[in-house]
Amino acid sequence: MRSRRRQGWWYRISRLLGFRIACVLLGIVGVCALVPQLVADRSPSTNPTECSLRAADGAYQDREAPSAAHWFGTDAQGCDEFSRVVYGARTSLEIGLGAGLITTIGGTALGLVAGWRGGIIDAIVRRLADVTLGIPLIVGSILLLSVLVNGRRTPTQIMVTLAVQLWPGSARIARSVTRTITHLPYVEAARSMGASSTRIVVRHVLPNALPVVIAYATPLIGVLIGAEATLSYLGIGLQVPTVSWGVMINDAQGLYSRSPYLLLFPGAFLVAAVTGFILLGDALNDSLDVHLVRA
Amino acid sequence: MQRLTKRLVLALPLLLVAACSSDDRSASTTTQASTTTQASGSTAASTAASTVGTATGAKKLSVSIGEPAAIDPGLAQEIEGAQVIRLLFLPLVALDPALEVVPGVATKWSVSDDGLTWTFDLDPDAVFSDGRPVVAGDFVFAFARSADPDLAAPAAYQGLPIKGWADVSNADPSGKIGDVPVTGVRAVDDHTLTIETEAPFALLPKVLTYPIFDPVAPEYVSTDAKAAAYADQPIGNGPYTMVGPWQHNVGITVAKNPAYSGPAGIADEIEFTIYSDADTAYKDFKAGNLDIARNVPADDVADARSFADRFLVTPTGALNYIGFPTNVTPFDNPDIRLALSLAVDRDGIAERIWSGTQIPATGMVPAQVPGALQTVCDGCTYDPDRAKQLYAAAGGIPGNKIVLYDIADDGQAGLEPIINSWKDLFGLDVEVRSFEFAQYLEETAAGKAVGPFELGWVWDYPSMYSFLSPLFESTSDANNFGYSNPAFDALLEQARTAKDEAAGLPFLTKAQGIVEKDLPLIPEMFGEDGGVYDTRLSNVKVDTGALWRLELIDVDG
Amino acid sequence: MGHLIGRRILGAAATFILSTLVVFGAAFALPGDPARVIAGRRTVPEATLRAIRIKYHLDETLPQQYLRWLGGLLRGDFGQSYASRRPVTDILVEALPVTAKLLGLTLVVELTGGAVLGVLAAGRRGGRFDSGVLASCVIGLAVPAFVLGAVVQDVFGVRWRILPVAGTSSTFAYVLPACTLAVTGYAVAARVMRSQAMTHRSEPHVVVARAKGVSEGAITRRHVVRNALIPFVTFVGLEIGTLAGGSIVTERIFNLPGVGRVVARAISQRDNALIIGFTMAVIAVYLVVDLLADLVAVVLDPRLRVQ
Repeated sequence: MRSRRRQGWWYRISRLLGFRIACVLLGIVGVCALVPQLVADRSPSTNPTECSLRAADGAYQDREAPSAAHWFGTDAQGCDEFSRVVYGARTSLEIGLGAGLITTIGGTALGLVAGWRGGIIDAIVRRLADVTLGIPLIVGSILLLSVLVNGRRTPTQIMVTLAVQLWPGSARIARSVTRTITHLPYVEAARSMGASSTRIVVRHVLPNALPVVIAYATPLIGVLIGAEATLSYLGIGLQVPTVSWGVMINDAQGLYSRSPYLLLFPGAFLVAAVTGFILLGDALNDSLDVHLVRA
Repeated sequence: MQRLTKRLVLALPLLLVAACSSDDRSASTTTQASTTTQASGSTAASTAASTVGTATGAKKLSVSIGEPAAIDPGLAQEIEGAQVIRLLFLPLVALDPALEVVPGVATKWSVSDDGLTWTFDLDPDAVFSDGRPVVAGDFVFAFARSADPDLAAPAAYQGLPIKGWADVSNADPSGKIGDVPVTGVRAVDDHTLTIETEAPFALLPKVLTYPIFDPVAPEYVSTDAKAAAYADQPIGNGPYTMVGPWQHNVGITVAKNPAYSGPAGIADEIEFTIYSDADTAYKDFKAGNLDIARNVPADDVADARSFADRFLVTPTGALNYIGFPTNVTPFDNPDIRLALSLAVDRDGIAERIWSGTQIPATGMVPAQVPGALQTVCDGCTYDPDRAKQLYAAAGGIPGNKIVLYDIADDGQAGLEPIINSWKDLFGLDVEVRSFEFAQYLEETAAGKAVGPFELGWVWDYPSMYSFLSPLFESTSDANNFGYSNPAFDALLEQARTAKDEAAGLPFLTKAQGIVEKDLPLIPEMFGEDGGVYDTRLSNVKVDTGALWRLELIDVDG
Repeated sequence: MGHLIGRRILGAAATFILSTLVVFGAAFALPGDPARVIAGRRTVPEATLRAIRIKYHLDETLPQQYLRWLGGLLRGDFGQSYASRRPVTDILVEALPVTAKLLGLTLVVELTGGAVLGVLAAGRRGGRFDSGVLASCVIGLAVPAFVLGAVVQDVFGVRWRILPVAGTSSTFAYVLPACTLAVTGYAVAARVMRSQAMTHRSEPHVVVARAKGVSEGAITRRHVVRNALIPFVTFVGLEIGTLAGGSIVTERIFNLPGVGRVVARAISQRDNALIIGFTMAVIAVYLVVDLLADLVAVVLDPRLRVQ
């Protein structure tokens, strides 16, 4: 019974064009992130941090346009753009997945508690969510990064900064699922039969909330990857020597008129990664037969 | 009491004048289009007589500028503001395009035999743009205002050589600006000003060219409301005057000052358009919307070179460096400092990162400064082999890890090659710590910094002294290297007490040699600034401090 | 219904007060001495810093400063900017029109684009047009403003010279920034509208109407669009906050002297008065719009009145 249901889901999702595209895009980005050395090895120069202002003979070299020796060209520092783009995938995925996980678990937990307990706790969580939503993501990030980080902006710090601000979405979903489910006859029956809160949450609420939350969180990973790039673009996110698409785009701004490829290559990978997660989210949404629950 | 009434009587007719002119101004801002043509029409008529054979119609000049920190001369602190202030104000003594001191409001000046008292004779015809005469008392007030902690002038320290200045700026704040006179500054009569210094100070005239010493009539800023209006529309005594108040983040427009008695500016109207981003200004210039785009960013330089001689590049009088906390190990070891400095590929960085818009530093003072050493200092070359050798001989750096401070709001392109090079040559791991400037100076203050830090210094006036004294004298506030060398300090004292500036130069040159050997900082780049201008313009001059001499520019059509 | 509205207003007010606490606290937790910010980039004597602290009330405790700020707020006084030494209100008044114009144009572009294409796509579900709209939504969501902005600036402004590169010289100067900023919102709007329209298309009363022979156009106008607009209005409320944040990037690319630029600079300069003033203004606008959106939803959807 169970396996047939699973098969049904897989059957539905694997037929979706969006899902197939997502698999290809995320596959490429994922391989880059997991085994960058393998991918970068295909290119003549491999080390993303081996950069030189001078060629082997000591002469200065300018930024190079894409060529056989440097597939994506070289940047102002004389680094190979291709290997940097490949290595940058790991940073982006790390931040997207990490922040996505933290914010979804945290938000879901808050939403469950708020929906289950109701009353004052519910009111507080809703108020907090409103405040969090009211402060624009970028402004909030700049404030948080300035307050919490003493000069060192590492991927972990960016992850936490973004996660702290994006929890209201999953919290709202978890809350409304909880509220709907607790009023269902069989849950009320279980309750009246003396089932513990934990048991009801684990047996009934979570399994129902999870697909919705996952379908919500998947495109959110894409949003988070974009947000990291935006912060780095503004010069308040990651910094050298970290290799990241956002940092690369930050380095490339202003160089666009002469070396558009410095912006377009990391930009294209960024778009590919975000597109992958959005399409995957859509596919999950369609195949899991999720009813969007409104607060 | 008596002085007060006298001032009131003086002020009365002026208030009327001010009232009239402010009415005019408000009219011109509300119906901008029509009044601008009217005003320029009348000024064009007046210039037609002086300039021969010019076309009819106003000569208008549009120039890019960054949002100035201030255009109130008392609050001046950087070049964008100076670009405007120098059109609006004529200082006591001025700088010509070659940066020599020339008469300003003072027609001549002399110093007493003991070198302590300076006497300035003021031009009796000098007036503010509203017609009010410029008198010695306006300088007395301006000095008291700039020194006052209540104004909190960012460049107030410039006045410290003047007698009594320090007492005013260290006194308890009273809440009222300019209420305590600086004892060393006196108006002998309306046209004679004397300035006493704490000790002989040969460079005083050069210091006085800084905008915080420009004349301010007390009644212009006598109330908070007036002071606030003045900050956006100062009333000056220079060749140009404001047309309406400063439109923050949008623009500033100035027109010829009809009351100005000196040589008039050529352009009838100069419009500063404010850009937050020099690249945008450059694009706008290319689209034909600007006559002059200043500060062409490094990445547009290759493109700007196609304008050939209409692309002007001038040194700015800035030194960009990486400073050492010289009392923190291992940076107390001169060999380690030298090794780190020799590993910096200045030519490569200037060429590759800055596209030739910065000059590889050859020492502690930009070479265009009079008296500066023209040699390349020992640590200012790129010598990887010697660097490695020295580093190894000095025992390296424990743990092979250092902290490097980075100013967060200015990009990291210039630091990356240095980090890469240190990693490459010494296997040194660099932990970058970025701070916004507001926090940066605290983090890198002497005693707090644990590693090298990037920073820059721009001269306040074109002299070696403006680099050596603030940066390296052991008593200076801006010396955050913890650097102290008695021989160096003694030479600076000799330069100060010399007969005049020229006589002091050899001491300064010698002092430069000492500090370049000690190397409390890695000299990285000397600043340079490039700008492009339209074919309509002629006689375009930028002085060696990167200030565009806009009043001299002629506009065709 | 009056009761409902009253409760919503009270809730918004509570959120606002809570926000002031959060933002105020965060701004004052920023490292760095504000007095030094006011003093400029040079070293200044201690007396100057003291004078500044007194003048800007930085010598008071945090609660005192907070109460002073709240008091000022009631009089419409946001205090004085540290970095430029000008009243925050003045800076606000200068920057708001630029951002308002940008956001207004952006909303028009994304809402009309999103609504029209969303409804049309829903009517042709599964067709080529529908797929095209869906694909454009995915791309719109995925392409970040700073990549798109640089490209359109280069293509339309520099290469083709059809539109101004930057600045606020004319309304045309807002076209590129607004389109850049609108792309994400368009994608969201079109998706919301499409799914809403699709849901309502298959609802029983629509099916009945269709069976009765009501024309497809009339169905779309009377039943589908009207009902689909309800969540759409909620979306607009949320969108204002998102756009206000996004304007920081767009205003930077296109050199627009708006709120976003001012806030970004204020934070890097530790200009607390400005940070707080602007952030609170944005939050206030967000709350008001959100409130209005809810009220409009109540008007549009009679069911909400019963709740």
